[in-house]
Amino acid sequence: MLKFGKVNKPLNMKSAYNISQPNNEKQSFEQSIATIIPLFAGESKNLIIIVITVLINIGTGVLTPYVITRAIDGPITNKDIQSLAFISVGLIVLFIISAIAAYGQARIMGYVSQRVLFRLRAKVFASLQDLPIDFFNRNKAGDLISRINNDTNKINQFLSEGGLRFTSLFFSLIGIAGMMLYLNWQLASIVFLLTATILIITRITTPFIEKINKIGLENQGSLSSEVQEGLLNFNAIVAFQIQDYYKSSFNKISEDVYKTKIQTNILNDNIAPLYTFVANLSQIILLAVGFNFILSGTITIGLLIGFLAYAQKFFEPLRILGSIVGNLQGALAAWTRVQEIISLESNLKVEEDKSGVRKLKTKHILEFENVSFGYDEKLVINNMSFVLEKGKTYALVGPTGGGKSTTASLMARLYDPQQGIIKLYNKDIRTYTETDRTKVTGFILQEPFLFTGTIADNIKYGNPDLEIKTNKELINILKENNLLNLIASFENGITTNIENNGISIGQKQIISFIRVILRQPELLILDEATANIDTVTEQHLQDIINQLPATTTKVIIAHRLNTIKKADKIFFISQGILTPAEDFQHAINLIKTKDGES
Amino acid sequence: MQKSKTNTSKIDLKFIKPYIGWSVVLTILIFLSNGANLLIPRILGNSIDNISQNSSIYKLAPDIWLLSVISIFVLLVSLVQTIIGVYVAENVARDFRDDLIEKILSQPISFINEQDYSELFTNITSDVEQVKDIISQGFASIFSALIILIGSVILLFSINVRLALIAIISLPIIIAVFTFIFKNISKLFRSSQEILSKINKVINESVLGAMLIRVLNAQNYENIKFDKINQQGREVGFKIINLFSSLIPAINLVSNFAIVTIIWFGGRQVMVSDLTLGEFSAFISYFNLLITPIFILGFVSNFISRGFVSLNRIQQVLNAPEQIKSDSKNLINQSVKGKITFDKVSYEVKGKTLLKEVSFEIHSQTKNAIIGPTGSGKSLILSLITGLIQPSSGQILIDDIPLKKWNQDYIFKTMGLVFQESILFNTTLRENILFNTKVEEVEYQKALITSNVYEIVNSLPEGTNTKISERGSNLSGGQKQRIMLARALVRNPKILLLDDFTARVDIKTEKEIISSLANNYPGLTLISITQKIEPIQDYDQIILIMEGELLATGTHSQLFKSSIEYAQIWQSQQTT
Repeated sequence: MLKFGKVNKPLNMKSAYNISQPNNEKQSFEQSIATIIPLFAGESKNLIIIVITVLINIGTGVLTPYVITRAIDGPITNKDIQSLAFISVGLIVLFIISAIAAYGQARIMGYVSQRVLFRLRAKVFASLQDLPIDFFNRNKAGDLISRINNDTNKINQFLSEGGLRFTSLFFSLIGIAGMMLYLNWQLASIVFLLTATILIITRITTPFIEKINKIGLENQGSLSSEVQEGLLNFNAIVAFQIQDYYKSSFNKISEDVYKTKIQTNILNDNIAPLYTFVANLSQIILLAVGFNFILSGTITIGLLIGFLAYAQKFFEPLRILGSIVGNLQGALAAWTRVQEIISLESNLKVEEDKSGVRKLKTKHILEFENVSFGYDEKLVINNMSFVLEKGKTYALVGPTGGGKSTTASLMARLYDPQQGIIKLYNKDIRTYTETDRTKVTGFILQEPFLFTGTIADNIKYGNPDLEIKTNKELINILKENNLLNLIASFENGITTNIENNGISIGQKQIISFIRVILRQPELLILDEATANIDTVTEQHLQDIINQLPATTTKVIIAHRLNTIKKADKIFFISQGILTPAEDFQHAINLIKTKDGES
Repeated sequence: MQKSKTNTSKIDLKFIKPYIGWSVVLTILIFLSNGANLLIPRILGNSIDNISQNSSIYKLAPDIWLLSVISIFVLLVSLVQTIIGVYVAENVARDFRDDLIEKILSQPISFINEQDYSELFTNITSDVEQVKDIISQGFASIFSALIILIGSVILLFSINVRLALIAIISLPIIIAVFTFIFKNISKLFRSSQEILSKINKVINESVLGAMLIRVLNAQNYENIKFDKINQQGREVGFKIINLFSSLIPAINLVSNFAIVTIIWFGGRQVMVSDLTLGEFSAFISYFNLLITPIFILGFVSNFISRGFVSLNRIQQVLNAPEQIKSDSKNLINQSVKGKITFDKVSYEVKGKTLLKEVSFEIHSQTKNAIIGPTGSGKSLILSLITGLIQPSSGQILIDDIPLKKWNQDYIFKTMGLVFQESILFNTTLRENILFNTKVEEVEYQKALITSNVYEIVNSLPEGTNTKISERGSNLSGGQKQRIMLARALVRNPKILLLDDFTARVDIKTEKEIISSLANNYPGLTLISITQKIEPIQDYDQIILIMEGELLATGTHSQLFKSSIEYAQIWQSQQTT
């Protein structure tokens, strides 16, 4: 009887997980700043100290010329050695205070920025861990690595080097602007007018510069991916003698990076000369206007000299700010790319169990109810319904690409179906916590993956019960489970180090096997797990699997007739449709005719 | 390839050679723009002196014109200077990237196996960027700063030699402070880069192993792993700051003390009329000019130091000894018939013998299978036949001629190798098969048909032009293997080497492919590593390998009678 399952997601939804595609939503400057602030949580005390030290420095910066002028006008003119000595000592004290403040400021700000970088990296990495496998299949590894490392680094460089100078210079500017206004507001307004002009120019060009910076970072990400791919596939590159092919592909991307970088850097690096020009311009205009004021008697020559000096001090910080702003834009572009990861959420959330159905240790351990699924618009699983009984062994057979592995992935909730419900022990699988669900379900992947480390590390990986065991204890556990002789082919037993290409796929699979068996799963899924293992070892592994409690349900995807023959029930899956086979012979017929294709 | 162990701290600047011309131009431009800029205060000062002395009759206009011209000159020269600087820097970066890739590509397979490849990854990506930063920002800034510094010192001496000497004492002290701090910092920068590599590695594995992590619910483990290395990075960061935060304040303090010294001594000189008030003011102004360049030198030396560390790392890779290319004039290029002989071939890695004195003969145009338990060394045999790895002892002969005497590139072209792991590139299906080789359409079609790839083509949205995602994650295992077979076949090989090819392919497809091979590539010498005996029963030769040793060879019926191990394998595959 057909039951129409709940529609969970529209079938033609484009995945938000593809972050390498251009994004319509752009974050404004204010939004970017708002999301950066939480990273500074807990640093408020430090930031206050930094502000204080900055003010001390600015104070000494503004006071020093004044004291020096007093020294010139006073003791030196009056040939008063004692007062001169007094002022000199005063200056030394002033300078020592300033040095201590500057040291404290640099050190504290440095520590703050290291902690911020730490938090940022951790946050991005943790966000990555939260995301489902769908995300990883849609994005290139090299690009992700680039975002977590390089982009966070760029942000950090700005925060630690640029950020500090930005704040102190900003406050300097305020102080000097005040002095100028105090001396002569008309001349001051000339300076402010010029400042406004250059700020407007900067603001207009900002979105354009930001866009180019973003493209630059994307190209950098592409470069990372290309390098990643080449290093990973080095064997094939050598064996097929396609070094030239790879080189030309790489050179193309290298060229793209080159072109965008040239654009970004020419734009960014020319900001400073522009500021210098405006600074010089201001001196010239002030000189001309000031001269007229002197002729009309509005100001004295002394005031003009002083004003020119302060105006010079005004544009100095502004000039440096110019170059820092360039870095800011680069940092913001990097921040956007990092944000793209952080802002994503898992689409496999644990849902609240509203059904009130108790988890029963029923006969059925797993049920598919009208499940339809597609990675994108095309359906890979088509209205599939079946039931897995506890303790039985099921074989999934069918042509490659027909949907067997996808079915297995759905069983392990690596994806959620667009339509239909999957039930584990009569409860919606989505209501299980990750811990509970992975305790029940064991999965041996088609392509085994091992981490750098020893075999022992890999066996223990992800298993809270084994985590604390010593190697000796681990060996005992292996012995108890009849798994120890599988390690015999490794020279150093479980202390053997896994290195690049050091062991064969079959050997990797054996370790994957051991890893999963020790978890004692209630539902064991093997996705072509013994494909690369010789038949004698396979039999041995079969024996081991058979030693699991009789209540263990096994789902085996395989091609070998021998493996399939021993199953309790055989499901034939092709083009996303599941056909239960009546018996072994029926299954063979289904396989041979491949759904009626010639 | 061994990384060059010598000269770990010496820097090789020959990468600048192609750009020497531009660098000289750049230097001149920096000199001009900064020199001209230094003139402006002088001219301003003169104008002011003139105004203060005879304001009513002084004509300011010529000064204004002069100043304007100089300002525009400085702007234009700076713009050109920036553009040239950027071009040189980006060219150097691109050169490094391309050179590194070229160097890596010229290496044999053993290279990657010995290398930590996330190190290489860091080399090509962030190390190159660091070096580029030295050139684009560091070089120009430092040079400008030096010009201002030297210019100001000259001006100081031109005002009053005695006072200048006193003021200059501060400079060596400042240099001493710099040197002390930087000697200790470079070590820290080096470990900072190394930690960056390690971080890359953890991220790398976390991304590549994403599926495993999720089925094991091991996300927390990954976070803990990352946390550890992240903390290490932070600790090194702290240490660098401890040293670095003292740098600028220390230098400021020294120069400020110098100013007090000037005020004291200079003031006394003014008092005894050894120095005019105007000269005294000018002296202080110019001494103040020294401060900013010193700041810049300190600020920029930060990443110059980092840049040199990166440069060193890059050059270690580039300067590694060249792979010895065999003497190409004696190499054989003649047509391969397909006879392969192993004569007591052994293969050792790090003291462990993986293959022990394996000897066999494969006749051309025959079908051969290699069978044996997991990890017994079967894949190694295939790698040895193609020359991807070298035997530790013994000899391999192709058509009775030692493999060493053959042109390596030619051998690769004559052999088609299908690996166990799926190795697919992030490009279209068609390109994954052909890459950029020119192949006749007929050959291409034949390869597609034989490997049953057409069925895959029809299932993809854009046929052969569909982009395959990285590592082929939108295809099943069997589909990937078939594509790799097409890739091998398209080169019309004389010898086809299959490593457990049929493991991931269903029975029906397997039978089809094997018979297509027989039909479409009749002259082929086939060597197939397989687990299943049934399909290879009629092969000309079956080689049984166990624990690196050859136990027996022969036809199926011969082995069944002569080898207990073979019989056991056969037994285990029987469907009763």
